[in-house]
Amino acid sequence: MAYLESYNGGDVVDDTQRVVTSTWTNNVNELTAVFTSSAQAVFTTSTSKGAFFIDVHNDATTSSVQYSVAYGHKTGGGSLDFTNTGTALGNSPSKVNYNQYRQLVFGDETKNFIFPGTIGATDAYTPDDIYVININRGRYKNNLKTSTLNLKLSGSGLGFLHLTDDSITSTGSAIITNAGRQFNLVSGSSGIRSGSLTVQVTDSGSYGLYYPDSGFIILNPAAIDHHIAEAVPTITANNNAKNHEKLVNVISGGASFIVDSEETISSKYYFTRIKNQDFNFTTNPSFIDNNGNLRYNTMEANPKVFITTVGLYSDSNELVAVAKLSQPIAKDFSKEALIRVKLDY
Amino acid sequence: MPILEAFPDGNNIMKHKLITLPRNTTQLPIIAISNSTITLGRNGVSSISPQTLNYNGNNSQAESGYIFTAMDARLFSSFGSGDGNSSQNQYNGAVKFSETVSNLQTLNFVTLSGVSLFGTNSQLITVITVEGMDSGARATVLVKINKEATAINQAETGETATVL
Repeated sequence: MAYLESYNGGDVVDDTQRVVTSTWTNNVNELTAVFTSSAQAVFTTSTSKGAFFIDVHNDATTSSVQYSVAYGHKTGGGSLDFTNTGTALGNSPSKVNYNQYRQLVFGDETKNFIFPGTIGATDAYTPDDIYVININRGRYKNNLKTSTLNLKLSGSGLGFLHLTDDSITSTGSAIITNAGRQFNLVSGSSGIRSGSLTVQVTDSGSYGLYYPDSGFIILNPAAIDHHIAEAVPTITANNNAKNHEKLVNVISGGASFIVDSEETISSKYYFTRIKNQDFNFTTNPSFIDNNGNLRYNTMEANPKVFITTVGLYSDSNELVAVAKLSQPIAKDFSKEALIRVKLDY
Repeated sequence: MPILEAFPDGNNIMKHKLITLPRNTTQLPIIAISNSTITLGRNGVSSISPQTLNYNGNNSQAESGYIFTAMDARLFSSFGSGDGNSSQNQYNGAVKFSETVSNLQTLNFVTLSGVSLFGTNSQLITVITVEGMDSGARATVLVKINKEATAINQAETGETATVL
């Protein structure tokens, strides 16, 4: 066809790249601010949205959720019951949260979170409750990047924790769960654990578990509150304890949350070779008169046109992609061009 | 001149293509259609059989096929269907607003039967674009559809199709 040229095998090249970007709004690397919305963080009743989770924003406009914080308890402690009757006792937001996340990780609601995560390990710890930090799905791409997690918590007591995953220290040791890879949350920075043990607090296991593929962190309250008194949850049944608000406060005190997101971009390069004798005429009506004659005699021996766009057509002649050049390329019988079209998907 | 973002809609982008022809070519292919304007009533039946002029040194030649696009497909109850061609549709939500059929020598179509689209208008107008699959030459045909379900399928003659 006069306007189509087929690509040869060597003209099309595949490529795959991993692209890492900051997770937070405006490509901010370190999220220092913690803002919550009084409209969302409502705790009035057991079915109030704030009773389940608190959205954390990056600024006072509270227009963009960065992550959410939740508290879960195996038997429903620490939050108001939906119906406090004999048959529905303990059905509360905290129980719903615990069940939701163990469903996500284990695929059923009978297994419990164990820290540091090795079932049967002598120093593993199985608490009744968990804190959850769930990164907003719109904020990260394919997954969160391991070894970029740096979360600081601050309060009274021992007062300070710098948490990270142990993906570099324990390279290749990730446990694969229904929620993807699972790493331990440990004291350290950028994927490197401080000290030699995964168990961070004697008899309490690690500080938590990190699920980069699903974008959430499970925190171990018993280990966290060993350092920070404000993070001690109240586990009394049918009690509006607002435990997740306590974690929001210690995150706010730490004023530093860094985690990057990762994306796999598959690219296809189309090397579009335009030889000197090809594509020197145009169907643009300004080129010809009503009978199809070239409008200017000077064009007869050496017409000059400009390439502005490359269109990719399917075998059935359907336009499936177009690539626009930043500026037109002049083309005539004395010129050749090589245009590299990159298609990301 | 406004610069269009790159998007793969052949009705709006890649309309004017660069083509390969021998050096010293003095005439470029154009599409000739006997009727540049077709006026029909509802349920009107008509067809378009284009010819390509100045292609491969011939004055009049049919290409391997033509691509026909109805800019407003709602105005046709049948548009090249059943002729063994491939069809592409553009939608605005659930509403089909353009339809393209390709690999045809002759397009047969039937206009709509209902009156709801007319509203208070006595006539609806749309354009069918014709593109040569080999030459890339383009032409347009204006289609006017009267609200009255007249039995007259009128073709206005004596005009040359507009070449874009």
